[in-house]
Parts: sequence; structure tokens; C-alpha cells
Amino acid sequence: MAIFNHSAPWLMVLPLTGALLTFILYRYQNLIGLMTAIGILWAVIALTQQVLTEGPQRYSIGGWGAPLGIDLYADGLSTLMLLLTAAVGFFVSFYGMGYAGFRQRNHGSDYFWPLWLFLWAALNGLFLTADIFNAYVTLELIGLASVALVGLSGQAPALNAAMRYLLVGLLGSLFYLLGVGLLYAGYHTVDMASLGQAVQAGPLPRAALTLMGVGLLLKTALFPLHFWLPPAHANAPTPVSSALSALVVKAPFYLLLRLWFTVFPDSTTGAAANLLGLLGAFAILWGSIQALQTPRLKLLVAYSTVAQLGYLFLVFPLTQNSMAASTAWSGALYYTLAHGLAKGSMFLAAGTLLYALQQDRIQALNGISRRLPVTVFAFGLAGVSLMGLPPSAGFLAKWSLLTAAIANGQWGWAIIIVLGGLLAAGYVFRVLSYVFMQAPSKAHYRPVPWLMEWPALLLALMAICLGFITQTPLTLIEIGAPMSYQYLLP
Amino acid sequence: MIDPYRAVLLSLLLVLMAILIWGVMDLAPIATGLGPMVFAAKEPGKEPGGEISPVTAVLLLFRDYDTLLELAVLLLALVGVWSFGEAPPPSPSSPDPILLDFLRLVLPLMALAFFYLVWAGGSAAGGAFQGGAMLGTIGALFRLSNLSGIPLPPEIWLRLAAALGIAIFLTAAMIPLVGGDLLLAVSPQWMKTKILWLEFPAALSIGVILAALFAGGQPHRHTNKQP
Repeated sequence: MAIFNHSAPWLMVLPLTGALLTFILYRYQNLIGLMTAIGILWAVIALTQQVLTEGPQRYSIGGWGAPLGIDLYADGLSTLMLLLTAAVGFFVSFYGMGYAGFRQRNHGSDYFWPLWLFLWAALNGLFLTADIFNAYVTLELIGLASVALVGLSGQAPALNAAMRYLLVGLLGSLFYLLGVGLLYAGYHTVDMASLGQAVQAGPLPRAALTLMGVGLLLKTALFPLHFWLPPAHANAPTPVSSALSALVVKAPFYLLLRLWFTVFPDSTTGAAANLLGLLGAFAILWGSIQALQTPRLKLLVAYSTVAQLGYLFLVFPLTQNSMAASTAWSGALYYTLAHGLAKGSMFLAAGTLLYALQQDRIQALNGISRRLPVTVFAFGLAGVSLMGLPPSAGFLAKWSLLTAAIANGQWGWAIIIVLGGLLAAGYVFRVLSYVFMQAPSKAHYRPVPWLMEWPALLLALMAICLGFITQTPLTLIEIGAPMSYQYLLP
Repeated sequence: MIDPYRAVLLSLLLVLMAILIWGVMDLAPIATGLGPMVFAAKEPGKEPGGEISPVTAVLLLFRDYDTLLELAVLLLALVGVWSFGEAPPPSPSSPDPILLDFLRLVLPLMALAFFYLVWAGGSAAGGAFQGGAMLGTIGALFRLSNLSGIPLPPEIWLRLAAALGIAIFLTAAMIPLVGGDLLLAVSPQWMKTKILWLEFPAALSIGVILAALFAGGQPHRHTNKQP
């Protein structure tokens, strides 16, 4: 059909329309929301097929073309992020519909759907755009929607966390915007590809990269700028926590990848790459140690996000050496995918446990596996992928990063990767040891609707399955990659 | 007595500032930018509809996708504020008679200025955001003058008015898409028409959203029986 020749713009139009309709026709918001989610899933699959067969896609909005108008661009990296967003978003939508926390008729629950669909539109928009100013607008949309979603429960800790999140997000956006202004003043274009051709090494691009980088690191919560993340992610309503940890923190990271490899390839230095890697390493250690100590389950999962984000930043030092660059690139992107699915699932499962127990102290989880076997199974499977045990997507991703580090002779990073896996095992088993305890518990359990159990399990199963089904995602990652592909993996 | 955290933060910010200055020093002193390209592209052959202001051309033709998303940002801000709770009730004191006389004088003029600003936006300075700001000010003045006797329209009408601008924009974006053309595509003879069709609903929505944001929350539901 002619209508679906262009699937990329539909990825923006559908969620925006859904957000408007759920805002106006709020009586039918579940129906409208689910239809929107199905439509987005369909459009993403169409786009993926197009990218797989025809290579990277460029799309001029209004037909104006790059320096004057705005282009959309979809290569393997964009498509992978869109697929992840669609997969997690689809299950978060179902979970949100069944989320019993919203049934208690508090004021904010009427607004979950419009805010969530705005967030989905903004994420799709960021992953599609080829324009650094348009990326700023989508970042603002992502930030505002996330802040409102964090505060939906209306309780004091959530509102506090939302306020802090808002201030941090605005500061990060302004740093980013400052860099955009510098680049436009210097090169008269905001299109990523044209900037990439125009930018040479020099003080101006270095200053722009530094400012934009600081803004994005603040938004993606890289150690030591992670202080806002644990309270925001832990106090948000559960479907929101899941979307925030699985998707929203990945969005600024994605933009940083684009800037680093497309816009500023000549301005980046080994020292800057090593600094990012070092901060990532500290994030892995610090986040894991906090996760090992915290008494609350959702906070544990949130600290685990701080730790796991550290792995993503190893892509910068590991791609410095051209020999194993492609392996490191594949590994980091696969890690993004694996972590998104596993963490999305883990937060949903943790939220269900919290709902059933009406509290989330880890010690209170005694023997809950008999009451909620599906949820506990989902938590365990997600943990397998987070630890990087075979056969899971997390294993493949860590294995690729490790291979790249060893091939480059960068032993320090290799040690960090292995150590991080051990620490992850520590905090996952800390939960599982209580969960599987046979001691009879006197706790009073609330019944849990099935829509709060199965989405978590299906997401976790996807994270495991991507350990077997690797051909399509790896092919996708190669399309439009910034480095030529060499095969180190058997 | 300096807080060590603040000292570290301050020194880091100073480093960033130094980097910014270092970058700005590198800028070329004279630059034309995209200006000539905008002038060349906005009126192919200067055909119908007369002149289009370059600023409007950038906002509603070349980068209309950005403007669409900015309208979404505004609406999202409103949805976010409404999700946090209901607006505080207006103060019970009766309106000041001098203020009322002032309003009688100034409100019609402001309404006129609103229409003019939006209309002029097609070819001169002005446009949806300026006009919307004027409309929002009218709303803020009503709120400040404690005119609680004036009934608000039912909430569904407020929602419709707030969403109208972006709804029309999305429709304009989708029509070419459904016909197999590019998102937001427009042929030259329709440019001026498109601008006016987009600007009036957008200005209305911006005004309503700004006024509602000023009120600070979701309107009270009068249907609910208060104890």
C-alpha cells in the first residue's frame, strides 16, 4: 500500500495521535492506547524489514532537504533502538493497563496513557532524527514526560524525586542546547551528516562536544552524575520505572553515540574516550556495591541500572583501536538491547512483588516464589541476562566486549567486565535467596491480576531468546555502522 | 566555611566556562548562515499569496516538524501539571472596581491585538506564539482579577481547545502521508494558506494552554459534590 511506503514518519504520527486522543477521549484510553501500541509495533517491523533489505534510510520531512529542513535517518543503530522501544513499550502498555496501583483512583492515574504515549513519540523521534536541534526538542519532550510520569503517584518521595529529576534534566538540556548553538554559529547547519563532513578538530568543536557531552552524561546518569536516578526510578509507578530504566536513560546515550561517531569523529581523543570508560568502570563498581547494600527491592534494581549503564560507556575506549572496533560496537549495542529487555522485565517483576506484599523490603520476600511463581521466574530470567550467564543476550554482549578488550590488549577493561558480572550475580542472588526460601511466611499477600505477571515474563524470555537468535540483530547492527566490520567472533 | 561539594561544583563549572569561552573565540566574526537560502526557497517564483516572512517560513514551512513538536511540548507541560492535582481555588474576595474598569478598557484591545498578531505573522513579525502569548495574558488577567462569577467552560472544551492546534497540525502532516507523499509536504501555491490554517488554531491552543498553566492545575470538577 502506498500509505506504508514510509514507515518512519508513522512512528511519530501514531503515538502523537494516540496521546491526543487519550487526552481528549479519556473514557476509552485503554482501547486507544493498545491500538496505538499495536500500530507502532507494526510500523517498526516494516521499517526493520526496509532497513534490512535496502540499507540505511533517509527521509526529508516536507521534501525540503538537509540544511534547510529536517531529515529523518534510520540505520541499524536507530532501528535497533526503535525495536527495543517498541518491545518494551508494548509490554509496558499492557502492564500499565493492568497495573492495580492505578485502580486506587488517585488523581494522577487518569494521565498515564497520554503521558506515556507522548514519551513513546519522543523516544521514537529522537531515535529517528538526523538533526541536532530536533534532537534537542525530543530530549525536552522526553524529559517533561518522564518527570510527570515519575510524580504520578502523588506521594511525597515521588514528587521530591520528580522535582530533582526536572532540575537535572533541564540543566542537561541547556548544556546540550549551548553546544547546538555553538555548532550552528560555526558551521551553519544542524544536520548531523553535514556537520560530520564540515567539522575538523579545533577549539570550537571540542568546546561544543564537551558541553553537549556533559549535558547528555547528566541525563544518562553516568557516575558521578547518577545521584538523581535511584530515587526517581525507584519511586515512580512500576510501569514507568520499567520504561525509564529500559529506555529513557538509553536515549541520551544514543545521542552521545551519534555525536561521537557521526558528528565529531575528528575531534574525539583517546584521553576523552578513556575518561568515559573510566567513569563507566566506576559506575559498574559503585552501582553494584550500592545494589548489594540497599534494603529495598526497587532501589536495588535502580542501582543495578546505574551499574549496567557503565558497560555501555566501555564502547568509547574499546573502539579506539580499529582492529576490534567492530566487535566492541556490536557488543555495546547488543548490551543496550539486552539490558533494556532484562531491566524492563526486572522492574515489572519487582513492582508486582511490591504490590503483592504492600512493601518492598528484600527480607519480606521470604518464600514468595510459591505465591507468584511466574513473576519470580521472570525476575530470575532477567537476572540471568543481567549477570551475563549463557545462554542469554547479556552473555553474548559481555562476551563481545570481553573479546574486543582482550584483542586490543586492554586488560584493565576486561577485568572490569568480569568483575561487574560477578557483582551482578551477587545482588541478583541476594534477592533470589530470600525468594526461594522454604520458610512459611505469615505475610498477607494481595492477589495480583495476570496482566501484572505475564508481561514481565515475556520480556525476560525475549532477553534470553536473543542469546540464541543472534543473526538478525547482528546483521542489523552492522548496517550503517561507523566502522568497517572485521570478524573476530567465531 | 566553604562547603567542599560546592567548591568542587564551582570549579567544574568554571572549567566548562573556560572551555566555552575558548570555543567562542574560535568563531568566525562574520557569518551569513542559512539566511540567503531561506530567502531563495520560501517564494519559488514569488507566485501567489504575497510575501512570506522569513521567520514564519522557517517556523511553519522548513522546520514545521520542530514547531509541531514544540506544540507537543506545551501540551505535554499542561498534561503534566494537571496530573499533579487540581488548581488552587481563586481567592474569595470580590474584584477591585478600578481593576474592572481597566479590564473593560484593555481586554477588547488585547483581543484585537491577538487577531492582528496572528494574521500579520504570515508576512511580518508576529505569529502563533506571539498571538498565543497575548491570549494567555487575557486568561491570566481574568484569573488575577478574581472574576469567579464567570463560569469556566466544561473541562472537555478546555481539553479540546488545548489540543486543537496540534490536532490540526497533525492532520496537515498526515494528509500528504496518506496520499503517499512526504510528511508535511506542501505545494508552493498552498504555502500561505497552510500557514494561516496552522497559525490560528495553534495560537488558540497556545493561549489556552498558557492560561491553564497559570491557573496551576486541573480545573475543579463542579459536578463533584463538595462536602
